[in-house]
Amino acid sequence: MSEQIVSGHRSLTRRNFLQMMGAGSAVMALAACAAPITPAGAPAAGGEAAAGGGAQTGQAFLNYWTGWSGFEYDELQKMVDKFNEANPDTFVNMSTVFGQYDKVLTAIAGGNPPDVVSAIWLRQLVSMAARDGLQPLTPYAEAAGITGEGYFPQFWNAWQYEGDLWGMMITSNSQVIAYQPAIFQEVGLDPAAPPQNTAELDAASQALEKMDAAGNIERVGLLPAGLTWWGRVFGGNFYDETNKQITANDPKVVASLEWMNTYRERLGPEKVAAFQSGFGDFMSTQNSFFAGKEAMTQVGEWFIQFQKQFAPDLVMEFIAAPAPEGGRENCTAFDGSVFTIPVGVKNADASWEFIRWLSEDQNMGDFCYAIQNVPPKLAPASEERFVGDPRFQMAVDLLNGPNAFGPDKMPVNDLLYTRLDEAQSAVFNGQMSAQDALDRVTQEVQAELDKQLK
Amino acid sequence: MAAAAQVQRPRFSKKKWQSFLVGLAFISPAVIGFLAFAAWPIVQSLYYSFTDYNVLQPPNFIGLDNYRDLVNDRIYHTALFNTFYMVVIGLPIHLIFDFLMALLLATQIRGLSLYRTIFYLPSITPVVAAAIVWLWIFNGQYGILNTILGWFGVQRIGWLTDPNYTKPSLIFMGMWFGGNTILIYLAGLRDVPVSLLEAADLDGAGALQKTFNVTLPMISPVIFYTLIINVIAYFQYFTEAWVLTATRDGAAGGPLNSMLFYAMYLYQSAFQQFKMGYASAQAWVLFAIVLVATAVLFRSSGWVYYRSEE
Repeated sequence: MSEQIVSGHRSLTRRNFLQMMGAGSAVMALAACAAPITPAGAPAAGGEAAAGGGAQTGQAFLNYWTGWSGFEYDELQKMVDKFNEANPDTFVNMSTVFGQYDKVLTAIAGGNPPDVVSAIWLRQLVSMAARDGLQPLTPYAEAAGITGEGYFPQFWNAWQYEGDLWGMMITSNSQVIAYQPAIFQEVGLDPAAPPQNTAELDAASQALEKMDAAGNIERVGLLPAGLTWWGRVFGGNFYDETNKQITANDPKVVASLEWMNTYRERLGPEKVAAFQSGFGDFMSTQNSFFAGKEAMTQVGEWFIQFQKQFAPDLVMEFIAAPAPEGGRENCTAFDGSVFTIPVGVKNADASWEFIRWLSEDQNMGDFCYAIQNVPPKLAPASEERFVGDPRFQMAVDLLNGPNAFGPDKMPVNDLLYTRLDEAQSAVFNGQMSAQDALDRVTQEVQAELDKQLK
Repeated sequence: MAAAAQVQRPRFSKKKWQSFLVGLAFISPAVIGFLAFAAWPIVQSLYYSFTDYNVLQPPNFIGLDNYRDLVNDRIYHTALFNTFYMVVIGLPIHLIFDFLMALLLATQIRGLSLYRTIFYLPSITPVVAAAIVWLWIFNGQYGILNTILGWFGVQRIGWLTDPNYTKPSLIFMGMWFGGNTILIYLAGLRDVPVSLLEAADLDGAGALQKTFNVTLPMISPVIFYTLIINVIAYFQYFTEAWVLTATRDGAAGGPLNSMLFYAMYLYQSAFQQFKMGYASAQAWVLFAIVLVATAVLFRSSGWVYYRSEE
């Protein structure tokens, strides 16, 4: 056999060929290591587990995907470190999939899911559960004696679907309106008497608006947005669970959209859009509220931490959404990140243990305090470190009140929310009436829901 | 390998057989990669397009329902319209612009290589990074574009917020990325025989006449090539629009979905709405559209002049 196996400009010896093949497969093997969608070391990477403490075999390695980022991620990492220290048998490796929640679905479908994932919104919980993406936590919770006692009832209820518990939250949020007393004072409004109803809100907003010489907006009072909240504040509902009917065109939801649009009509939709495009990064000192471009803004109690971080000298107060006549007083809508165990994880017991540990009063409280969220349990939420701040007390009271609404328990919330956003944008751009836009949402989402429930 | 080499076919000498295997070994990474990551998924997607498939549960055969749904899907129609807008309006503008730039860069002026570098530079900038820069150029309030127009008394324009301006803005931005096409045209222009241009000169042809009657026909195969390549690429328009419009919640498409393109909606259907079957149907329709468009272009390519045919 000839040594030269390929003829051409230069001959290639078999040795060279084998070397090249070897190098090629090495490169491919390396690429294969780097390729998996798991953001960090895979379970097989025992070396990483060793770094966390005991290098003994049999240590459970958990990949945990979170949606938190920035300083909130850092705070959560502290909790994870604490867990790893307290549980030498388990090592939790956390990675963020902030802005890439789609990855969760792909990972589960690909048979290589994270062992614990909290990058799932409460509004998606039912759709993930109904599509067999998650494991029910019911047996674990029962074994651990967790029965929902001690939780705010509406949260515990929000995690149940078809008789099973599908996830648990360790944080929650309410929705409030933040305002700056200094700007109220500047325009002659009494900062101690913020708006109590929508009529007063309209008047205050107008008084707080500021234009430049060319008529461009420099400051707004409030730019109301978000149908899922205002629709509820106006007394409307989006879904009739008994009859499995979408009710996005509920007259009260329509009224809320019409009301929001009065702000755009008055200010000019193009001017509002141009004004909003000038808003800096939300999670920064350039935040439009901190920069004085909005005298009032729709946020949650978590904004207290943002303010401490990015505008420490700013004075900020909260009010509940002012409701119109026939609307709902002290109304708040909540969503949140749910801790879940996907189907197909290797060591669900260890996954559960991590969730259970995070849900202990002390740990839940510590993390919530660090990022200024409301703990979904009554005991930690009532601690002085939280409710010592009257703004936080308001958030807790809203969530514990009769008008706290979670996402509806149906499998097409993502579509409903997308379509509601579109409807809002079509109305704000003067393309459609609120009634027509919401009729269309109702019809289209209903069609999809019927398909899912078939 | 040794065992295989002993199986000798009459017409395939041992040596040939050996070099065939070696050749196969060399291309095997590409072949295996193609079969596993392209061919098989393509076949699978055809099957999925006839199913209701949410990725997590097994697919459920529903016949042509997905294709029927496409006919009635309002958002899909918007995405289709926007995509055709880019292909029919945006692409010709880009190609004409790139051709004109190439003509300018083919002239003999001082500092030519500097200009060429400048025009090519955007093409080596990562699209995502460049789009973020354009996000600020187009910014309604602080954007440099509105600032400059403001000097001439033009009112602020919501480039990316006013649905009437969004697609023209994308086309405008796209001109900036023309470096590759310009480079191809430049190479084509170098191939235009000087003798023909000189002959035209002697016949008293002006610059315009030379361009239309000599240069254009001579580089028409190059133009045809860029046309085909870009028609296919523009039907898959995605990155720029996604970067400019994606929100924290993963929604994208801009105001009134005026920047929602076919590939974006396909992605949303598959990975955000759990409708992989529906997305597969969209992909196959897109494939059919591209196929037809390419075939039509080839059929109507009588204007392309191939010198080798002489």
